[in-house]
Amino acid sequence: METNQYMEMFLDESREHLQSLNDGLLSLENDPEDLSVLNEIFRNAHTLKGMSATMGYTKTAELTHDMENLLDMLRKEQLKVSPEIIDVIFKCLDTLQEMVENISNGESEDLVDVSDLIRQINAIAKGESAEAAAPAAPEASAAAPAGGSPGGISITDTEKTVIVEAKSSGLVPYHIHVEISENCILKSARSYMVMNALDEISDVIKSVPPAEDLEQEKFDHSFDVIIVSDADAKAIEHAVSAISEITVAEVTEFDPEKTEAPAAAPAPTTEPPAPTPEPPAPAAPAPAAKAAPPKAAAPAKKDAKPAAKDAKKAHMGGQSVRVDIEKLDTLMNLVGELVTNKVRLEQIGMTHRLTDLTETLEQMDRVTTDLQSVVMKVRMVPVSQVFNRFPRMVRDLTKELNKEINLTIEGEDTELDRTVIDEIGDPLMHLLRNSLDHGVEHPDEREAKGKPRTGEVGLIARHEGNNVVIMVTDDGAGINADKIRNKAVEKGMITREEADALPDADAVRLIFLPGFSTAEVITDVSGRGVGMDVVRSKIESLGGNVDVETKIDEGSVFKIKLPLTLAIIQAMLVKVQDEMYAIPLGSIDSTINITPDDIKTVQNKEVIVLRGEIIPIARLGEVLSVPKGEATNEEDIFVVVVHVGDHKMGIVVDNLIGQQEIVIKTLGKLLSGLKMLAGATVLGDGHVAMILDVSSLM
Amino acid sequence: MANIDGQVVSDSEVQVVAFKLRNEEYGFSILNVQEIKGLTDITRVPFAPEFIKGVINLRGSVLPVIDLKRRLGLEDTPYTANTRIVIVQLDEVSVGMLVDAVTEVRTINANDIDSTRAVTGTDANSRFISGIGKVDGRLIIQLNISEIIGLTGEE
Repeated sequence: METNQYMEMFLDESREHLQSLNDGLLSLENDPEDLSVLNEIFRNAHTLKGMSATMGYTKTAELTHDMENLLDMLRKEQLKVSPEIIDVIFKCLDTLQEMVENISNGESEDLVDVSDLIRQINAIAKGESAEAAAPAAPEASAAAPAGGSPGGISITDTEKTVIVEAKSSGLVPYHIHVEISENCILKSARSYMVMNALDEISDVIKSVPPAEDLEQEKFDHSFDVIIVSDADAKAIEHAVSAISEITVAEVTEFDPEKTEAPAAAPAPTTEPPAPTPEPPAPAAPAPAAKAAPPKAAAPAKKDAKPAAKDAKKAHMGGQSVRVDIEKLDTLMNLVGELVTNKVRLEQIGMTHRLTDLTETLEQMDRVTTDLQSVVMKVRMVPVSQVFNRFPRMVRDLTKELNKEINLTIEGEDTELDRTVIDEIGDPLMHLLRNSLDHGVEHPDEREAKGKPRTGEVGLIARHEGNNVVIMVTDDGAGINADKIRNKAVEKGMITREEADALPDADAVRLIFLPGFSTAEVITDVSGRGVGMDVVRSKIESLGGNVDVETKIDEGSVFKIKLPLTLAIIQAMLVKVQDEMYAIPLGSIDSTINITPDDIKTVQNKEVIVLRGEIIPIARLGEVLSVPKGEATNEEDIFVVVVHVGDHKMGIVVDNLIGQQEIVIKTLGKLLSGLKMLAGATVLGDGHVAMILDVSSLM
Repeated sequence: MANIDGQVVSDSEVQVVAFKLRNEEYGFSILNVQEIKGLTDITRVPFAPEFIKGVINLRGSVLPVIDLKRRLGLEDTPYTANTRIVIVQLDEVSVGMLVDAVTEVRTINANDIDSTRAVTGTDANSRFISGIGKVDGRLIIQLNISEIIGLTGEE
């Protein structure tokens, strides 16, 4: 089968399933009794197994199969959920992840050795299931390879196991013999309908000939299917014979243990059935050291959070299509181009006074505006895409640090532009690690302070005006402002006097300064040598900002403010000589109109006084060395007052054109890294204008 | 001759888009030429390298434009009705090249292309030139696009 075209889909979906497995396992760990979560996990594992088997990744399938067996035992309560089991399954997930990544990199899945893990799984399954009286699973692997061929259908060991297990949980295995009318033209379509109908009421174990051959019409006029179902034979027969052009649908109970042929079915298969006995998994007892994980840290306690008991967690898979982000960018470009052309048409209509045209264009204007906003929305993705990798990280780190921490995530539905989402992961990860490592204290310490042993760490996203705010909160020790002051003085970043004059809130913000590498504040866990200044610069490069509030022994809040999107921003267009520039509205304080007399000098630097505040000014034309045209109006001077943090600056321009939504385009590789420019945009008339990077003007 | 979407895949012949800079004729391999555009407004980019004339709007994308004469150290000439922007593509990078006029698409026999050293010696600008083709007594100087774009380069 040509599988390449499905590769992308397989990889994407595998990653998704692994993510849901991780999520599910985490909630199972918190609430081992929750059967609905267990079922969800089982389903995910099952799908993953099916997919990898279809794609021919036998090792992946093998590992998932064993994992699924284990999960199934948990589900049927033949085994009890224990930290040990959870750890092994987590290890499976990590291994599977590695395999999927290997496949994605075009390498072989075999690079990862799974035999050890499989041994561990089997050891657990065996060790515990002996007394749980589950004859099915262990017996199956000991049974002779390749079952008999009841009714001309031979089943493999695995299939047999599945059937036996299904039987033990109250399902009935059936053998269905289906014959299609001799006159039928679309045999494959009919067989597909039969399989579909069966799928709805049962689990299809096997078909002869296999589904692939059915699809390609590689069969005569009959085929056989083995299913397990809780429906009775009559209902199944009814469901199948309801499909037109089906002449015979015989349903008989199927007994995998016996080889007697069901009465009605003369072996219809033309090709000899090929039994594929699976080698019985080596059931050697796992070395004790491997199987027993360190029991040091108790798993995050199921604590007073009954809200987490959402049975509605069953995902309602909405209908969706996967689209390459590049296609969306192209679409965005095209829409931008459309708008540009529309503006041109409007200008033509105006100059030639064509009312008909103008009216039509007004209609078109509405459509293009809608179109634009839809395209923008399409690019938005929920922050859960980043957030959902954190619970696992928090769990692992909590164990590693010997702490008890409960992570609460809120507002994971909040949407952000795809480009922002891609960039925000690392800074968030860093802040979280910080909170876990330094924020939350050790359980004993917490108890001594009269706090609950379990620390609370929150990851909260929400809308705030035109921004999205993401907060990382903890109820830990807080940041000691004096410690920060001392450190900053030690590093020679500020003088002792300056430090003492700083209010606590500002002193804490010193941690964001570059060079404030704080061995005491940041240890090996929280950063691989990455300081808070990196977090800040990353977030500022996304057009956002980060701030911190903290109270000793009550905890800290790191607040990240991000623009909804990076692709379209509101900007003020200004003119210098003949050149047009865009200044992002987010950094504009105000625009004022002054006369040359208002400009004073302080130490040869030009400043203005605005509402009692002294603000330095820069003449944009000189800063950007705009070629001089004829002298402009010297009497009226326009100043755009911009701010970065608490710093303000006046930018002197020749003219203010107005406020406009602009689409940000990069200048490309060739012009990357130019100072003072944040990019370019195409204006309504098709001209290109540069976007100023206000922070580098300061 | 093998022919994949119109491109000649022969070792012995190359097709070049020939254009003029002042009185000299130059060429880019046709495989690198994306399109040829009339002169449009070029927006100056502050702080850009000197040989970059500015950026243009190509169907919604912002594209840098290199002033080829300035890049090759030739004297400047004013724009004319024949001035064109040749959009070339190398790997993932698209760049416009400002030229005085586009003359034609020529097929040059590989045997008629001389290596540059014979002519330019160790001239500093020789790195921009990949060969000199002779066709009907005319000389078409072939340019090395990656050096001209200078992504790996000196600035």
